[in-house]
Amino acid sequence: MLDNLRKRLGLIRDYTSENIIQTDIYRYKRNKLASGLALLGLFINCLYFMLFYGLNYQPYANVLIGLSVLVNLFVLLATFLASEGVKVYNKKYCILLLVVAVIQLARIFIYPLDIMLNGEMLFETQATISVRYFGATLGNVELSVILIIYLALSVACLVASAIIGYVRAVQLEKFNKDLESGEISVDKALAELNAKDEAAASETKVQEV
Amino acid sequence: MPEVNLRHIDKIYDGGVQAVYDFDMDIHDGEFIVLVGPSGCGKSTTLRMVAGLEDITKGQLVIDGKDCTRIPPKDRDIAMVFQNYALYGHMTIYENMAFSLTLRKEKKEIIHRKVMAAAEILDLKTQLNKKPRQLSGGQRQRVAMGRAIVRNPKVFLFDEPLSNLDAQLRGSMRRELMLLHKKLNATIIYVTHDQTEALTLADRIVCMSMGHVQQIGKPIELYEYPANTFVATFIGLPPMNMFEGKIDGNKFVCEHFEYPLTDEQTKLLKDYDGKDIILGVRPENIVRGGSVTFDVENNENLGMNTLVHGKVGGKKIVVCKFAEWCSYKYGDEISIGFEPDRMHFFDVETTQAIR
Repeated sequence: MLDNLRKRLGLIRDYTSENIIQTDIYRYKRNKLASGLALLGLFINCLYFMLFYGLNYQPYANVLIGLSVLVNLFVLLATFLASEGVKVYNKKYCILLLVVAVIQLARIFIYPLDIMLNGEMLFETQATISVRYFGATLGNVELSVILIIYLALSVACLVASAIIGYVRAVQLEKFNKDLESGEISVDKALAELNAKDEAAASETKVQEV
Repeated sequence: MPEVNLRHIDKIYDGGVQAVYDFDMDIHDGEFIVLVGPSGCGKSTTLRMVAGLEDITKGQLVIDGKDCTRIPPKDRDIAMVFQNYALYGHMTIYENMAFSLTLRKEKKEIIHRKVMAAAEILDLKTQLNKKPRQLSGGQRQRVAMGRAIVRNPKVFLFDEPLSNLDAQLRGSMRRELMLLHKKLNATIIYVTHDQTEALTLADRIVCMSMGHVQQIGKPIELYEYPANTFVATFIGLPPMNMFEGKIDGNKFVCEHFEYPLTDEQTKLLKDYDGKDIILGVRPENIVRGGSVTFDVENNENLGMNTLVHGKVGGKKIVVCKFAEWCSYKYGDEISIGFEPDRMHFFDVETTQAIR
């Protein structure tokens, strides 16, 4: 079953000429997809804290907000570093991305959930949770939903980036090993594909005639 | 590979300056054409007109049977290699070579196969992950060529591609270009001011001066049978020695010496008897032991031959090229003559060769 999953993820692959060429591309091109997803996760996190710190609710203005700022700084720095790491197929940085994703996931259960669930308390304290956002005034429910969506999206991007980064890094690692041991040959694969193309072209010509 | 037809092409810039006059030639399939001439002769302008980087004022450009006179450069299916390589410094060699195909939104696998094939031809496989600044001039020029090759264009245009390289590298790149032409069997138009490149690379040379085509022909034709004094002095190193004089019966008479003509030459020049004429002799066609007195000024031993500079008649500077090691000194006086079947005659007024 584990093998099946690994196969589905692309961690185990049969070497066809097409696969060889696809993986050979990794040797010359950076993993922009994984890196881009990580940066997108970072950008969404920015949207999260820009909205959250715009909140006018005094009870949250305590030392924990300082901690929240520090967490944000860590998330920004770690995500940026990890995006650079996965760009060059370093699988260690995928773990860092997952750690950041877990932190982002955990953050859903702190302020956003609190805002959503304890919004009733606000009327007792005569304070209202509200924030101006793109011309609209958001109440506690709308606000918390948006915050949760931002964090969830950020988590999704970071996890996707980690998975893609890991899969491609493992593929490339194995490919390089097999290439060194002579098990596979890029030149052979290229020659095979060229021969296929030539055969297809001559077939088309024959059909045309 | 297609034919390229340039039909009576003129280039006149906005200020009224005419850079190219009536350029007319057919470039055949797979031919290596070299445009050669001094700076400002219009060779690069002609190339840029073929590329579409300059408008054609008058005339017609046909590539592979299609009129491309007013077609934008991107639709002409040509690739140009520049003197300064024009590589993107922030991209790797692979990315540089793949760039044009990426813009065309080709599939990654197809791009990869084309880049690898070009890298194989140009021996760049081990350099693909490097940045241009990490490569030597020759390697950078090969990358520029690779970028052209991956596009599989109808015509390759080279604008003085070897000018930035040192002499040794230029030599090896020349050989690589020749091999590349054989491998690809591509139609190439190549611009240079270096006659060595022109003579060694070209199937046909187009020699230009002041915007006019002076002669089109095989390298040996331009060397052995120059059409006019410009081609005679431009092609060949050191240049051809030229003597202005008159025909007097069966003699060529100039200020510095008299030289007997053969019967054949007398017959050829019978219409010029008593008229002014130019005699041209290449340095390697000067032999020792003739009727002309030559005062040696200096002696350049080049190993396999010797260049001897000096004067004839105390005024006219002449260069001789002798096939062996010589050790003349300043002030030595030697007698020289000219190989009769290697003497060239030109009309003074038209500067055209007399044949």
